[in-house]
Amino acid sequence: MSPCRLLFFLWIGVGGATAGPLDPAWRDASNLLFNQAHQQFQRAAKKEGAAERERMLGHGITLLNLQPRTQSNLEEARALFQRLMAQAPESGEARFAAFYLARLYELYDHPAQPDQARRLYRQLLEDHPGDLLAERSASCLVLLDLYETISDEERTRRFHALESWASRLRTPTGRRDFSLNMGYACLDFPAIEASRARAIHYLLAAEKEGITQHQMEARTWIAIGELARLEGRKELAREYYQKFLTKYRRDNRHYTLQKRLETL
Amino acid sequence: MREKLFNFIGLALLALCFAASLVRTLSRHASTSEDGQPQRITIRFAHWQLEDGPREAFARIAAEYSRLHPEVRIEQLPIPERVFSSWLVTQLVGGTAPDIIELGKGLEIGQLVRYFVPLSDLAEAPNPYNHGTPLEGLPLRETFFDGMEGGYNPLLLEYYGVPISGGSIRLFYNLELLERITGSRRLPRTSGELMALCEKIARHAAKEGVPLVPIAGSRYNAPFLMEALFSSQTQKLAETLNPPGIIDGNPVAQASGYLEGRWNLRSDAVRSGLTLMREVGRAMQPGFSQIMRDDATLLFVQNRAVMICTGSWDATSIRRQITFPLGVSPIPFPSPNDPVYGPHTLGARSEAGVNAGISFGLTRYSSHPEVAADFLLFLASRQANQLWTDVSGWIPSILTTRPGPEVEPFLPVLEGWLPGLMPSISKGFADTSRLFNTSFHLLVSPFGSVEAMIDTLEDDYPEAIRRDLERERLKRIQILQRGDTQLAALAWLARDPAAPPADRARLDLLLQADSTNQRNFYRTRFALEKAGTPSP
Repeated sequence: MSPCRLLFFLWIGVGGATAGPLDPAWRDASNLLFNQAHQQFQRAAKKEGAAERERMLGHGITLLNLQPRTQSNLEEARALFQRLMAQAPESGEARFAAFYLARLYELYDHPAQPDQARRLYRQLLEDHPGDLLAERSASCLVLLDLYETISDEERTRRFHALESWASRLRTPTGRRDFSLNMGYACLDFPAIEASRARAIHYLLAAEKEGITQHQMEARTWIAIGELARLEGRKELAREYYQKFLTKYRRDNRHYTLQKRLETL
Repeated sequence: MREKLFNFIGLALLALCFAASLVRTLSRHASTSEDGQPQRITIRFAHWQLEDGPREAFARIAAEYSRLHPEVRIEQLPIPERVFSSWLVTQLVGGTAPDIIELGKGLEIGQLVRYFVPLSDLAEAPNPYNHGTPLEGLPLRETFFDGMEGGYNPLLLEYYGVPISGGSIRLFYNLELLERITGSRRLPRTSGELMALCEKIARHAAKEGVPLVPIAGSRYNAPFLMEALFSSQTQKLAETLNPPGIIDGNPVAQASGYLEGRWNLRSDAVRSGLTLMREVGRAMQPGFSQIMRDDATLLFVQNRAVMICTGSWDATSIRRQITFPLGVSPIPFPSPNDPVYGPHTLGARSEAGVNAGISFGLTRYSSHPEVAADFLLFLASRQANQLWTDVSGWIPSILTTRPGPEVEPFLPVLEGWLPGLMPSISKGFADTSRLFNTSFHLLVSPFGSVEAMIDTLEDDYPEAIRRDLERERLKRIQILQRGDTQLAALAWLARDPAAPPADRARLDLLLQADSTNQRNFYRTRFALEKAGTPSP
């Protein structure tokens, strides 16, 4: 983990909660044991204030994956999230609730309600800079806005509008995931003005924050190297080809990259 | 009187059986709990590797472990592959599963979570059994040739398995027959040489009137060779389907490339791949696509085929059945200089990305999880892996293990290019695969042709691809949805200042994986929308 990411996690820890009675339920949920976690949240005694909000949040979050998945469970989760947002809008629970309500609109509803999701993601970004989940919204917005069947002009306009978030994100994770989505969108949509140069810019920005997933790191180093080669930035291309070749010796793209490097 | 006597004998036999089982049960119990004696612990592990080699290797490793730990007895349970999935579910649901089980067959992700113990802590710590070796002090995962990727679950972001072996696909030759027919034991190095050899063998068989085919095929073996040769012809095409900057074999990009009209079944590269498939298919025995793996092996070991294409895992079984000298080579690919098949190919295929397999997981049912985990560590040690490769003849997974001369031809070829498109794009594309397979006979039968197959496939191919892409979209949304609860829970736990660093690292990985999955979902959805299939 990079030092800035470590500092960030320490920082979010400072304002956070301490170990609580519902931790075993959260632990089960983190291990994909949804039904067990749900039962624990459901059985937990109702209390006042933050403890009750945490119970409601856990209840709602586990309803998203309770098996068998039913529409009534999803509706119950939606109602719980809305209640949390109304009861204590400034609480941590409300931020979680807003993010997962947006996900319900985006990924669970048939048909999806992208505009409702966008509204919530934007609100989270505006109201809670520096919050982990709120800043996760930025990368969601990139996908919602750009991967629609719209004209090239409209996509370019939306791309420029999204660019304004780049300087406003405070968390390394938020900046990394936003930059990755912006960078790869430039590759998917070459009609975006100076798409290759912009892709290099965003992928380098993501890389600076630290890509921890190996497959994504390898893919991004290759993309930077390849785009730099195509743009005539030979030094940059060499640097990233070399980084890939040194670290990913057992990748089946190794030989291809070695040959590319030889041509530079 | 006679009837009473029979009844008495019957009852006596019943009583005898009962007494015998009682004595056996009690003695079994006593052996594990006798006071004053070291407690006898039994660790059971199940696998489906019934080929020649693995069972003997496991027995040797188990014996060696018991020698080091006299209080522990290791018992292997070889389960036939055909019934393994149902056996596994019964054992897991019934609560009677052994301590250690080979992963990968009939196990859904939910079952993995519910019934198996994550081994990430084990993966990050040094393996004590590597003490005194060059691997001493290295985290366990760094002692595998693939970084233990073969035991990693990318959805759960945890290590669940300890993989002990590698695998590769090779062409096996009967060198005696080869020499008799060609006058030399030289193995073909390109597909052109392979096809020339097949023709020579066919001519020889016809001239001598002997029942001999160039290549033994079956529904199991044939695809190894045919798909590899097909994909050699689509390497350059596959490169053009990725956006600039991307180098991989992404099935979504390939499928959407088809729906956008960037390639089709009549594209030169595809036609060339199908032609090569037909040529090699014609070198196999008639009706090969209807027969099973064992029948093809029998054909080869009985001197009725000069070649067979199969995995390194079959080598020991084959060696033990043959009386002739065996030759082994990588699949000969077309050379880029080949006048017919050269223009579409980049060259031989890389095997660098192949992960280690035969991965063992630790079940939550284990009565002695710490002992079972210790046995897994021993299994993954350099010493045990050396035993594994020496006795089984299979490829080792642990670095610095020395493969014997019989294993060397199977070691992965690291230099080479990415494969191209597959005829059915991806093994996960069920509809496209089914469509291709139902028309396959048109490609390889004496009365068939490449044109006949294309004519038959062409009408239904776009719809099959569209359905498979739609299935991909659904799969990706399910992954995202399943990840939601997990991510929320980890993010909540990470708010605690005392949260373990492993939790924070896991959250970071999960955030990134979620973002990647979400991007893949939108790219798939966009591909479908561009092809005129609106998504819900």
